[in-house]
Amino acid sequence: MDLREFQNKVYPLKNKLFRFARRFLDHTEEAEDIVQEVFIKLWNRRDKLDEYRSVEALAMITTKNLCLDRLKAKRYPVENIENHRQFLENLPDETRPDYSDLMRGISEAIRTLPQQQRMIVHLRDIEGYEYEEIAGIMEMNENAIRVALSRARKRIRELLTNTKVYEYQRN
Amino acid sequence: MNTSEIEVLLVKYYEGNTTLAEEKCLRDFFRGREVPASLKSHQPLFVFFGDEQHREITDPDFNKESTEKLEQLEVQPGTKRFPGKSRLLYITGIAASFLLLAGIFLAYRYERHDILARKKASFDTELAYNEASQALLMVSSNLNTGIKQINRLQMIDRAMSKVQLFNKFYQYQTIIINPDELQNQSIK
Repeated sequence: MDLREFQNKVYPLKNKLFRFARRFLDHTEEAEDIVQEVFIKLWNRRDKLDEYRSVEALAMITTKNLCLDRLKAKRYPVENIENHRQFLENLPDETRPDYSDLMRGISEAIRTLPQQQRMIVHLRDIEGYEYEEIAGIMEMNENAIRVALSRARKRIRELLTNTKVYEYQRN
Repeated sequence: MNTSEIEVLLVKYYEGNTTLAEEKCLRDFFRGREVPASLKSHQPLFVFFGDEQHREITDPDFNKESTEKLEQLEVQPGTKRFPGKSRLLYITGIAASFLLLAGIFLAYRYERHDILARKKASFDTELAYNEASQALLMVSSNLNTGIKQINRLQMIDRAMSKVQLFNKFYQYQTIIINPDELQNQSIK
């Protein structure tokens, strides 16, 4: 695979990889770094890329593994929802993320999920992968994926209703 | 799509049993304007998912930078291929092959030199043998002529012994002719 072919096949995946990495790391620049690392990893295996059934699945798995490595190396703090809310409220207004409170609430709810559930929700509800594809990326069986997804969706729902109650009480 | 259908889909959704097409229906429904109050609490989640699908890398130079990184990898494959210990091995290998080549070259040269020297040496002994035998031949032939001369001397010697007889005859003659003379001679 030459550079031009690589650019045509792999570069278009960049935003998918970026979103996935960002869901892991909660950090835009780190996620962009990860995408470039994925490109390098795939480029080093360019002679074998044609042997894979799906370059996209391979790229997603590589992204997942690089993110897990980075989390292990950094012992990334997984903030709980209250800490994160306080962090956002203490920021000066102009640096606050400019999406609404509701959107922020959902983002926080997803953040509090166990890592595996967070990835599965992302792959299904944001990237729209089939269960079979998610099973391939997460290296789990399809049934386990369905169970984890159901749990994650219900958990988000719970957190959102709590959040709504909380906001209602605050007002 | 009416409200009751959406409610059915929502139940399936939370059980993890919706298809991708059904999930798209839900997203489209909640992004629309006519969301009944009873379902409003579900709306933000699907709006959020729809928004997140459009989150992208905003850096316009991202592809360019990536390509530069990949090309940098291309420029230095040599250093990549022999890092650390194996680079030392690589250099040692080169040095060893140079030594081997030098060794073969020297051995070949030495061999050639040796053959020439032996050729030259064998040539010399033959010559020396010939020279020596010629010299010896000359010496022996000259010696033979010398020996002939010596034989002639021997003849003289024999002749001289005959002459000695005259000498004796002379002595006896003296004694017979003049005995006094003999006395004088013995006194001397």
